[in-house]
Amino acid sequence: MMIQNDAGPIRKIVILGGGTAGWMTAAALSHRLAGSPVSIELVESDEIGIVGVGEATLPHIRAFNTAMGIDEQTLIDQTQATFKLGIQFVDWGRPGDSYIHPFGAYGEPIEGIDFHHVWAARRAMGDAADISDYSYPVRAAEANRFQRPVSDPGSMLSTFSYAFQFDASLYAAFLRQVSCGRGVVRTEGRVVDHVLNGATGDVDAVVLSDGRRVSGDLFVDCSGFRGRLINQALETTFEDWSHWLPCDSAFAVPCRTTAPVGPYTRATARAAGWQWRIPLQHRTGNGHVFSSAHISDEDAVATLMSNLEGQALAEPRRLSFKTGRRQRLWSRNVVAIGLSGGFLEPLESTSIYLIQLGITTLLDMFPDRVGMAADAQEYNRIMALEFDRIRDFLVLHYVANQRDEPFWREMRTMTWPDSLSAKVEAFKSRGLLPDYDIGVFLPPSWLAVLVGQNIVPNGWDPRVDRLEPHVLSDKLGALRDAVRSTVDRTPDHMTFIRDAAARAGGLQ
Amino acid sequence: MTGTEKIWVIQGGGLAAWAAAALLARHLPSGHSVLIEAAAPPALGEEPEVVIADPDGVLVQLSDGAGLLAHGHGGFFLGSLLRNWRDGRDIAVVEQEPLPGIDGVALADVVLRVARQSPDAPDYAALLAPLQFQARVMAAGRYAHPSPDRQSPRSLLRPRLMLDARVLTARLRDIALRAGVRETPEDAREVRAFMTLETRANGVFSGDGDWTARLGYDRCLTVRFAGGDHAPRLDIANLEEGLASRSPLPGGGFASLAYAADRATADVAKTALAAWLGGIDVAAQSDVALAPGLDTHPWSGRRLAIGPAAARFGDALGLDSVLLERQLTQLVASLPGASDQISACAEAYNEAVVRDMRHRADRLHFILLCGSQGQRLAPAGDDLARRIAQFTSRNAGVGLDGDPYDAQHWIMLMASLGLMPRRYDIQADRLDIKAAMASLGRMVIAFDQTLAALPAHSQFIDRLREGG
Repeated sequence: MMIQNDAGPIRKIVILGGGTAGWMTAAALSHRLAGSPVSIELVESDEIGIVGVGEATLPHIRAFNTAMGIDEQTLIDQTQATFKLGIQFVDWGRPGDSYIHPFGAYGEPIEGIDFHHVWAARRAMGDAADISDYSYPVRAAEANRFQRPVSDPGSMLSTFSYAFQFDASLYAAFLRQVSCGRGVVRTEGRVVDHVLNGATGDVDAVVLSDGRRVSGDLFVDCSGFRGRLINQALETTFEDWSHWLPCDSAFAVPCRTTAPVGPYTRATARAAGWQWRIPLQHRTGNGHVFSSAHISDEDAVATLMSNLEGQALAEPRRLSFKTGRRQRLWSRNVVAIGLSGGFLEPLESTSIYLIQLGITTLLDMFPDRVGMAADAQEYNRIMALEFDRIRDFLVLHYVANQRDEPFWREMRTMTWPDSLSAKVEAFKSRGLLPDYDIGVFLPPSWLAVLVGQNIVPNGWDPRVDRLEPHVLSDKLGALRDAVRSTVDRTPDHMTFIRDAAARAGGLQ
Repeated sequence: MTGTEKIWVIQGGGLAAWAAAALLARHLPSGHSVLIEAAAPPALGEEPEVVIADPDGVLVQLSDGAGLLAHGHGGFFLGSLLRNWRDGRDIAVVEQEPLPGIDGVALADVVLRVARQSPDAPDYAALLAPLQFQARVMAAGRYAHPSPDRQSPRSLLRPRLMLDARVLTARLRDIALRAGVRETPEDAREVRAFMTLETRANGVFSGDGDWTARLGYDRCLTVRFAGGDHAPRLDIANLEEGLASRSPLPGGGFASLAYAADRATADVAKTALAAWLGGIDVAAQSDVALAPGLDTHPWSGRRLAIGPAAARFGDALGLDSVLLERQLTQLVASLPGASDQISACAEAYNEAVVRDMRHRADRLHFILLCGSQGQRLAPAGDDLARRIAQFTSRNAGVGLDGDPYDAQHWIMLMASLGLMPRRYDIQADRLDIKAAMASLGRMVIAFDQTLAALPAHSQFIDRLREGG
């Protein structure tokens, strides 16, 4: 006998939109709700193209895929994925600069003191070692090498994590196949209208262009920037952050891969924005994110096309966006996931992460029809906190620059979010890093970008000054040696991918 | 002392002052010195008389506090027992390691589903109770060290030390003085201080930091007693006259009654506390003002309030000493080496410490709201209200920065105190309920068997003293 959880259970979920967000949602819901009486219907139209945000991911995607029962090798094969150890930022502080924000820590605590304090103190005394010399994932990425981490805490290989670079449209197609195999009903159709419940204000149904109505208890709006329900039906307020993140356009184009396929994404600063490069197995994704107030479309395209590493495989596609988020991503019985809920430029590969977080948070607090408001309130608090903290992290990349172009000068002199100013000042004066539990970017990430953008602490934990200099020197030297020798023993990235595929029977 | 030396001045002569002195002496580099104002030790009840300390925390590290147990100055602490708190039941408040889920479903959701499975099943709280292994060990007055074997129920234990604060303070004083801390009979305010640490209580906390209305007391009667059993717990009772707490140590201990002066006189408080304690020998007693609350900006410029100057809630749940340990830990993490670092260090310190103190105080507030005098208290603040809403809606905790308690702790506590969730995780419906119940049953049997084999806490301490 199935015991009912409570009165008013959700029986029908409708997902609007079949892009990355829509099919990730469908796959996760269908897996988690398997065996329950909840049915899932996804409405999408072949007439409406998908934005296909985010080809680069964060390590959290692995837990998401595992929770959905997706085998990692299958995912790699199906999506032409490569591995990712971090993001390389080129020319961001000043032209000629380069650093990698790795998925891992730098060094290790010494006598209970966080490593970067020791590094900062030694640096002030003339030690020229780069902080990246103490990061295995940075040095492995630069050498185009990769292997999976191990669990032995004594091993250098336990100090990092990894993510994937994959073809987002192939990922969506793969998840569509998975979802439909688990009973998700796909309905082809273009939503032209909606039906609101006169008593509650909830959405009762969406109306398709051929007159069909698709009704549900809970609607997940994955309809992209237009926000077909969260915006057009419920008119939820959008919080505009373009004054802090003024890039509002992008051109995207794939090209052939010519250079070695590195296990990292690259973001190169340009005169009025930045350019991404994401190497996959079968092609390289490229895009130029820019502020249309500072550069024309023609020049933006020219910049992109003149900086490709290989032959273009398509015409550049233009995207427009406004940075910010809905004040409420869950309103009434509609949850906005993906671009309908908010947009932050993909500088730190957070697009798919935010989709994932929206889905897992929704699943954690899977509602019933009674008392949905309390769940929505908590959901909105969690999502807003995450969006806000990622925003600050992205803004940091822009404001901490020493470039000369008008765009970059404006970014440098703009009014910072208060929450960011305090973080930067704390780091400058004493090496203090943000200390919070809720948020994707933890202290090592802040450290990577702060130091990478040439913000180095003037002060450090005074306990460092009690440590014996020669002991420190020996320890740091041993750490650098351990990183170097471990990288030397690490296989080539593409060799690792091919060998793994061959072992699994994929490539011959 | 040189002209460029940075002098840390500590005001006060109690636990907080000497702990801070020993801490600074250990961690500050050359060029810094510590000067402590030679104040009289606090009167009985003005600072915690019993310290609840993390075995890996700063207080134990500084003092080799574990060694105090072998000398008869303390025992272990597994939690607090709220006596006769709700419907005649004792309620356990413990912080054990999280229990594993079943097939990916959180244990609390499995239990709630089982509770709803049949009208014959015990209620949710009653079903959860046998799964709180540490609570059962605590209530039975037994003890064993945690086991590293993840399969053993003993791996769930997360004990702390319960130490005689006066002995600990004396040891910290010796350590501080040996490490070069200078004690001065002069008024330390004359010294040009790099930083001044204020440790003495300063009356009522202001604004949002004043918790008198939330906790319902403003004075505290403290007694030192001889005799009584030596259990690994605090006993707490919500009497008509106030909040009573008993903290045992070998051969005696301390007890207190936090009460509201406008509802009870000191004599009434004495009578009530004596009646609750039963026939024990009172060796000393003191009645002091205790307006509970916290300083919402404990570090301001070159002044840092710690200990009773920063937060004071009383002995219930061992809160004051736990807060002191948290303050000291954060002080190390935020230690400034130069004047231009003070502002950033203060901001980082205040953010971390104040949110921690609020979470802990919220828990005490919640416990009192669910007690028999709860209707007299001010309602829950925003974070606590959010916690209650999420638990009663979906049997879940809330993710908040700096929360010292895990979600399972809040869930167990709220269920124990009689709150009932409206629903559980829908995933629990996927479980084979008979198999899930069998899993729970096996867990309880393993807990029963392990518990029965544990020695009494007092026996364990005796063996420790004998070097066993």
